[in-house]
Amino acid sequence: MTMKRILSVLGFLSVFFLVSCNKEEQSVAPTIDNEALTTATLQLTNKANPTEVVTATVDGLNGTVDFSKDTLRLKANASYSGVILLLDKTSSPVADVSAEIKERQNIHLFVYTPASGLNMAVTITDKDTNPAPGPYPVGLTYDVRTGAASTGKLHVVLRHQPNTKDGTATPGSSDLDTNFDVVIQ
Amino acid sequence: MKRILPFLFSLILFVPTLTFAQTNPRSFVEVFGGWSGISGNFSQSNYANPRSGFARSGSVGGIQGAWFWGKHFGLGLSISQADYGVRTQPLAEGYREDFDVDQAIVTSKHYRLHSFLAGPYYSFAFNKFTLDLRGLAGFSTATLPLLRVALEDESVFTQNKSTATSFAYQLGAGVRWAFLPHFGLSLRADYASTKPDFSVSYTNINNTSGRMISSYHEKISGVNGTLGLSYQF
Repeated sequence: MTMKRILSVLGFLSVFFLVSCNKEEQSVAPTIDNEALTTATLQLTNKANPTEVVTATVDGLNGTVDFSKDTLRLKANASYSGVILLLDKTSSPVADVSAEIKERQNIHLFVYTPASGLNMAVTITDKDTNPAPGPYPVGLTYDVRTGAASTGKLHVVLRHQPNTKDGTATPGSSDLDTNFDVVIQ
Repeated sequence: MKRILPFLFSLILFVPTLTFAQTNPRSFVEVFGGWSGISGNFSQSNYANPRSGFARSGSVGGIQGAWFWGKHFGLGLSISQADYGVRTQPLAEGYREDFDVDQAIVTSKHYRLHSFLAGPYYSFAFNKFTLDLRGLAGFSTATLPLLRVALEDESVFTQNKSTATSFAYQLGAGVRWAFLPHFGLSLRADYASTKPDFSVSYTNINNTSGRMISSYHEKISGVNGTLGLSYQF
């Protein structure tokens, strides 16, 4: 066997190795259960009188919903600062879901929508830490400005927007979707 | 390195037993391939640690040779490619947790390392056997593979492919056995190291929630154990 032939064989084997196909690997993190969310509470503090705190709670969100304490009674033409508190009462001790939302604020957005005819405006006051074009609103804290006496529903939705949060309610799915009764008097 | 030092030491102890019938080492060209074990942060799989490389031990192969003059000295050249898989499971679990989704799918190709090294050989030939000690240096071009993350079928983002070139070296020893007048088989062990500095970028990452790194600058090092087929002249 000539040197040329031998070198050709060696060269072919090396080129074969060097350009061999680049394998691909894939892993799927197994599906897990969603965190349970059983209770949502709106807590509003009158800015003109901080001792005046108004709350409303919707319970049993994971099953038979209890709306018996869901009414917010607010003063007309007043300003309130508000927070939303979320609990998971199925775990022991009771889990503070609001704290988990705070940790994952970059992929969550609360949307507060007063029904037409209900004279109130809700403005979210907290922001996440997403990079430009963020940061975007979160909604764990908010301001409420009431107008003239009226009644109606306040629709509260928590949108879960993994890597799709853009400051609008459209992307993602809903972790919470409920209504509170509001009476402005 | 700790694993190869005892091997080198025992080879050096073995050398005097060969000296009574030494001949001149023969030059060679060789195709080789084998296992490449890695260590350090590059092989770690801790999602929370930005220094983790998630690489698993892989394979190495290529072509090498050396030209000898006199009784011991030679000059060698090595062109090789190493291939390391990526542990995608801990990444998928980390992204699932960070984005609070039911499912995350991570897909990745392999790390690639192309090395071009040259350097001295010091060899001892004894009948059909030759013991090679070598120290090679040069450069390696490493490729950080593209990583694709799919979150619950709602959003897909990628950590982009990146390449970096850096100084590389390897130290090792091996034995060649001439089973035919011009053909030989070799068994070698080398410690190889390089430290590429990757710039890391992402596409379609909208929310800073999962693991994000802007660079990756960790040593890629470990022991290569190879078999080779050589033509000796």
